[in-house]
This record gives sequence, C-alpha cells and structure tokens, in this order.
Amino acid sequence: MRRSVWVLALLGAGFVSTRVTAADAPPSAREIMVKVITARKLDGSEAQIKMTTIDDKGQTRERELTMATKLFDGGKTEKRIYRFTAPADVQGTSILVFDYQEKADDLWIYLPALRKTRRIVSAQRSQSFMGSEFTYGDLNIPALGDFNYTLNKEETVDGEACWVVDLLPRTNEIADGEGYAKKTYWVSKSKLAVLKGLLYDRDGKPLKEFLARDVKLLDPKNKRYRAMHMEMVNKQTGRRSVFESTKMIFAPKTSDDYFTTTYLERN
Amino acid sequence: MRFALQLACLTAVLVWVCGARPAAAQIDGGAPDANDDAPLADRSDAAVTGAGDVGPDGGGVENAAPAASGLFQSGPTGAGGPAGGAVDGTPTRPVVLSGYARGDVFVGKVAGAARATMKAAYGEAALALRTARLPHADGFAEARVRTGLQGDQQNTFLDLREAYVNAYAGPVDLRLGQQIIVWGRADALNPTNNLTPVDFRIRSPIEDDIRLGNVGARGFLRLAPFRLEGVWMPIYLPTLLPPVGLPPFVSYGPTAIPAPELANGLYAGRLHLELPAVEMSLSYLRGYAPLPGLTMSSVTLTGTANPPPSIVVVRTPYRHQVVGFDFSTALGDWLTIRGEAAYRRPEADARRGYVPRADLQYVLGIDHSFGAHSFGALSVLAQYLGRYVFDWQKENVPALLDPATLPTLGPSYTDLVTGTVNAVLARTNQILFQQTARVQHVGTLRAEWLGAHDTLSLSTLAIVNVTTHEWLVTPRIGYRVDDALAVYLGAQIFHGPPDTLFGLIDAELSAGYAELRYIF
Repeated sequence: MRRSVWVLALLGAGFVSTRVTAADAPPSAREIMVKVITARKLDGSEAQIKMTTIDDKGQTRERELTMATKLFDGGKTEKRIYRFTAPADVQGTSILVFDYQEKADDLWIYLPALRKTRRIVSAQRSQSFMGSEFTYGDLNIPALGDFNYTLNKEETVDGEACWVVDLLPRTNEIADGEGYAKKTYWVSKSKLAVLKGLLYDRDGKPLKEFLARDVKLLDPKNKRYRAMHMEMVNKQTGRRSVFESTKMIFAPKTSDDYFTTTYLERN
Repeated sequence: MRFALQLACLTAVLVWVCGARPAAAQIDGGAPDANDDAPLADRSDAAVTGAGDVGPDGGGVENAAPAASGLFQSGPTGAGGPAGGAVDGTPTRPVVLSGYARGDVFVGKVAGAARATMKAAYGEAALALRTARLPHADGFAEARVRTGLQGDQQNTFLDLREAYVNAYAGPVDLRLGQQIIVWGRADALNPTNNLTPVDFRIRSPIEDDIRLGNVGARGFLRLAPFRLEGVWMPIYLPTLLPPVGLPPFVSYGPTAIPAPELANGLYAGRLHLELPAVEMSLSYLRGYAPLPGLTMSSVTLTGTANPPPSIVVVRTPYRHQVVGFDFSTALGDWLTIRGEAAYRRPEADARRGYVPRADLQYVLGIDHSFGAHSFGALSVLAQYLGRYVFDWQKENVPALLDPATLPTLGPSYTDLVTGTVNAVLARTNQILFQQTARVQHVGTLRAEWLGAHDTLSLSTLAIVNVTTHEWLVTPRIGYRVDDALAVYLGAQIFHGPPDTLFGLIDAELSAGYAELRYIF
C-alpha cells in the first residue's frame, strides 16, 4: 500500500514550480531538483483520478478514485486521503497518508472486507502500485541525498524547453531499492515539472519511459502546476499505465476532517 | 420484533433513496462541505478538468475558489462507480447498485472414513444499494440469496445482511439499522470483538462473508484527537455453528433467545485516541455474548424404543462484561506493531455450565511487507495470543452412558441421565469457549503474496494452539481473470484432538474448495 501512497503523492502534490525565465543563469542539476522538490507542495487540492493499465495484448484495467490533499505544520506535513470508487472489487478502499518532510510517513488503510482501519508501513519503493507499471518509487520525488546529479543537456519536450538531468544512485542499496541503475529526467524550465523520464534496469538497459502531459497551473499565486496526464511505458514488455486526473481543483480550505481515520471508514 | 426492525431499516433506506433524488441533483454542482464558504458556481469555475477548459497559461483558474469543493466526496461519473455528484454539473445517479454472484463447491471427508463427501455446493447472489453521499447523510443496504447444499441442509437462504442510514451532524456521526460492527486491531483473533455474530455454516474463501448483521445504533462523537464511540444492539442474534454429530435420541431445541426488552440489549462504549504515531482505544461492553453455551432442556425416558427416549439440548446465551484495550503503531518504515487485550467477566455463575469462566486474552503482533516490482509483494503478519482462565478447573466427564442403552432406561433413571448429560455439556461448553486449559498459547501467521500485476495471489492463515495441539491452515490461490471475474482454489483444514474445538469441527468444516466469483 505504500506504493499507492507514492503514486498518489505525485498525483496529489504534483510537480510544481516557481517560474524561471530564459534570462536566469543555468542552475546546477542539483539546484534544479531542489527547486522541483521545494515547489511540489500545494496548499490543498481535491481530484478525481482514473488509472488505466494496458497490456501488450490491448487488454485494459481501470481504477477510479477520489483524492484530497492539504498542507499542515507550515508546509512540513502533507496529508493525503485516497478513496477508490471503482470498480466494485476495490470500491471503498481508502488510504490516509501523513507525509512528513524528515521522517517516515504514517499510513492507514481501510479495507471494506476487514471493516476496520489498519496502520501499515512503507513497502519497498520498487513494488508495483496496484498492478500498474508505476512503482512507488517512480511516483515519489527522489530523496536528494540518494543520488548524484548531472546536467546533461537541454532539449525540448512537446515544444517546451527542458533541462535533461541524470540521476545515479549513490549506492547499490539505493539502486536495489529503486530497481533502477539510472534515471534521466526532462525538467520543464518554465514549470519545473518532470515532463519525461527514462529509467534503466540494473543491467543498464532501458526499462521504462515516463511521460507527463497537460500540465496545468493550479495555484496561480504561488505558480504551482500539476500534470493531468501521466504515463509509464514498459519498453521491455509493451505494458503501460496511465494516470489521468479527470477533474482536479485547488482547494486550500478543504476540510481538515477528511484527513482522519473517521473519514477513512465513511463508505 | 427483529423482523419488524429489519423491515423498518429497509424502509428507511428506501425512503431515503426516494427522498435523495432531488437532493442529489443539488450536489451535482459540487456538494458543499461543512467548511464550504464559496458559491457552487465559483467552485465549478475553479475546477481543472481533463477536458481542457483551462488554457496552458492557467488563466482559467485565476479565480479559483479557495474552498472545499466536495470533489473528494463525489464519485466517478462513469458507469459502475458509486453515487455522487460531479463538480462540473453532470448529473450522476443518486443510487448505485453493485454486488456479486458466486458459485462454490466444498468437498471434505466423511467422519471416520477415508472417503470424500460434498460439504457445500451452492450459488449465491449479493445485491448492494448505495445512495448518493450527501453532506449530512447516506444509506446502504445489501441482501444475499444463497441456494443449494449447505452442511446438512439443501435449501434457499435469504439474508438482509445490512440496511442502515448514516447521519452526520457536526462532530456527531450516527448509523442506525441492520449493520455489522467489528472491533479490535489484531488479525483474525479479536478478543474485544463481541458485538455482532458470525455464521460458521456459510462457506466462503472470503472471511467477511460469514459475518452477520444485527439491528442497532452506532454513534461517534469526534473530539480530535479523541473519538468516543457508542453502540446499542437491542436484539440478540446468536453466532451460528455447523451441526456437530449428536448421539442418538439427542436433538437441538430452539435457541433460548432473550426477550426483546431494553434491559436485554447490548450496550458498549469505546474511547479512541488517534495520534499520528500511535492509535489506541479503551472499550467496555455489557450484554449477551454472541456465542451461546449449551444446556439441557428436557429428558424424556420411556423405557422403550417406541416411543423413543428424548433428550433436548438448547443453545443458551449468557450475559457478560468485557473491558478491552487495543493499539497499533509503526516502527519506522520496517514494522507495524499491534496489540489487543480483553478481560471478560460473565455475569452468571460459571458452575451453571453454559457460562464460561472469567478470562483474560492478550494478542501482540507484527507485520511487514517484502518485495520488488518484478517479484510482487509478500506481506507477513505474525501474532501471539495468550489466554488465562481465572478459577479454572477441568470439567470431568463421568463414565458415559451408552446412548444406545437409553431405550432400556425408564423414568426412574431420569436423575442419572440428567447428571450425565449436564456433565457432558459442561465439558462441551468448555471446549466451545476454548477454556480447556488454565493458560493457553496460540500463534498465528498470515502470509500473502501478490504478483503478476496484482492478478495472482497466494495466501494462507495458520493458527496453532501449542497448548491444546489444535491447528488451522487455510491455503488459497486467487486469480483475477479481469476486474469482474475471480477464481479461488483452496482449503480450510482444521485439526485437533477429539476434546478440542478444532477436533470437534474438523469432520464438518475441513474441506477443499473451488469458487468462481463475478463482481459487478
């Protein structure tokens, strides 16, 4: 279930930015990632999300969920709640996350078949999220200290100027935890959102490609953006997963009551 | 009275459903929240949709309303999702139907013989109705129809499993109607969970399927970080067991259900403390225990085979008080720790046979998840359960009368037969209440591997009582063909010495099974 948290963390918090202009001096690779991480937090939001996985034979599976996020403790804690609404076999499953800046997250899950809320702990970052091609690690902003960064070049993605940043795990343990030998991100200069990623397996072969599209400005005051459409394609199997925010709203005054175990059990 | 209450619950839900239609249309523009202070139209303007109503420059959200939208409370607009309102004004259904159909075959063994026999074979349909989630209320009802062979009965069974209305008013949540309540934070064995019964005769790979609903009220008062819970179940409904072999001339009479009076209701309260690092609760319950004991109702000795002698045994509930405590916390990113304990004190004298002795049960468990994307995920949960029985003494069974000799005994043997039967029942009750030793040590292990993109699962629950040498294991393979169709193959195997609970039910409940389940 930790996986779902990271997936939805990305969906909920998004990659956000402070604007930079073409006249700004080129930042270092690490500075780019610092800005991405710093700018990712949104005061509050609510969304409806559809998750679709398509295998190499074209067979699709869909999950639908609603989500709410809110910042607490002056932005040091982001609380998120996710409620699966379809299909029927996952309907009512809900997850509550307290995402802390400097310590392990607190997580609870409500499973309708158990009829009670259970505290859970984080799973390995390389585990699949709900059977999709995303892993929990894919959908989390990487911990800064876990990687060495290199600003590789500059390219455009869908017409947007991007920095291309390589991320190399600092240790084999981190690489094992992530499941990748290397990650390359294309970061939008204007939105500081990751628009594209290429992920390599432990043998150094291309494994998956990440794509983010339809990046919207959600909080104009703070220049915070979110990708409405995210896709992960397994280049070795042809299987792909899509996370699409069918509706999303900036809602800094979303109810505090949502982020309680009481709400987890309201089904 | 019970039927009348069930009918009232169903009626309430239906009335609610009918009344919900215009109200549901109102929230299609975005259900207001308690903290909501923005007009609906403003909030709709604030929505960013995948349809692209906001330009790339984000100008369309410049007027975003900084208020709760109700979007989180809404459901999807697509078919198959729960009822709810969409913020874009698209009407959605005020009521959503869901459910499943399943077909099951359970094959076990013939007691005392090396032969297989059919234990259950039936089809079951479940239909659930969920109303729109309005800001201050919603409703739910589920009925199940099962037809075929279940134990020694070939019949059609109809259960109105749940039918209730939720009402929300500020810090107060209230649920009234037919409902299932589960307490406790331990896995599988919950000593604090004594509110609603189960039906062990229902055979299913899904543990929740055997739970039974009962009519009652459940309320919460939210005073963060505390939450006060109250439960009232006015009608007694017993836990149901499969028929175990009875000697010749012995039969069950109707269960001695307490009269439906206020004084016979179940009352319970629970104080929750919910902090980010740990949650815990303290609970108290007073009422009739879901699992009744056995008492002898009558002995009729005729001295002849025709008319035959008759001994009638009835299931007799007892009232108890239970004080409970549970907690759970996490050890970093590594382990979850959970614990639960309950002290149970029956109100009647245990020497009356159908009443257990006071006992203390305590559970401590840990769980962890392993795995990687290519491997799938393996979750493991291990627990220890201890049980201490106060003033324990072994119930000795005297030299048994051979039931075959009962036709030869006339009325003058009534006292002798009564004494023998009562002694046998006292021992049987001690087994049912799992109090055959002063101190018992039990271990549980639940393991589940989920792989092949969450379509294939291998799981088992194992329970071992090292004191009484009973054990249970439930291996299961599950495969999700798609989002609707699931296949389960598995077994539920009980084992134990003849004078233990698992030993008694082994022949009746141990079985291998296959199930096809279609969920809609």
